[in-house]
Amino acid sequence: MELVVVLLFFSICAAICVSLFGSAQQMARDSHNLSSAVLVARSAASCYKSTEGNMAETVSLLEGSMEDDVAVCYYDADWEITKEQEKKMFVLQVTPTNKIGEAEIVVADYVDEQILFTLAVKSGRGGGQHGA
Amino acid sequence: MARKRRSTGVNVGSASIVMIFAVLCLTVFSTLSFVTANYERRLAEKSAQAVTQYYAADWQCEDIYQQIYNKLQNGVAADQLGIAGVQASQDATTTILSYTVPIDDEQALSVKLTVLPEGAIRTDQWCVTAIRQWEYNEQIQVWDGE
Repeated sequence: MELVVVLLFFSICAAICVSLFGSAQQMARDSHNLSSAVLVARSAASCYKSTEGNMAETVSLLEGSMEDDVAVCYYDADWEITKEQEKKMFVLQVTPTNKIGEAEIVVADYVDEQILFTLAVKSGRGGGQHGA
Repeated sequence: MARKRRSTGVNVGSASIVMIFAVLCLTVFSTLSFVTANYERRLAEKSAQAVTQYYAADWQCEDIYQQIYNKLQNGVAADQLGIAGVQASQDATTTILSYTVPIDDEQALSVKLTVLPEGAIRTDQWCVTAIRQWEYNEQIQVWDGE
């Protein structure tokens, strides 16, 4: 009888603890992905501003490619730049808006298309010296 | 004469003790991993919020810069721009324009521009500054033995 009670109690506690471990792992994975998404979005924003909104130069700095006027860069599960279709896990898109010098940066999950982070960036300063 | 075994009511055998130890370990480690993951998530969200706030302030600074540039292009004098938040000070040959856009409660993006005599704008400062002054505590409270 004692063993039955012990096994029952242990299985209930173990189930709760395993679900806690599982949700902790999922949360850690999500936060790692968010941190990495923020990092690549910041990097893209810096590239966009440093090139004064020039999309061709931005995509060259990001080591990505142009797809229908949108600068696109793909990342694998370890957030390394990849061009292989089967390794693509995340995508960074720099989309210019209607106004010159303005763009929207979106980092999303390539597989389930869930948006991880978005950033609006404007570049109008024109380098160190802006001629009037 | 055979001794009669008495039951105490609660039978705690070695299996129960091992189970209690295992459950305790599982609970402690799972709770610790969950709390750590939760703090990591909060840190990541704070970092994302900080970056969003910085670029929102940067956007506003770029907007003001654009307004200044357009007014100068239209022949408005550098010290008579009339843009809210932009302060102008006159140097010997140049006009220095400065403005600040808050990022959050602690930081602001400060911009300082110099309008050169030929009409060009030189960006002298575009950086994050602290809004509040640091209050340094120069006294260390040590135990004097009483």
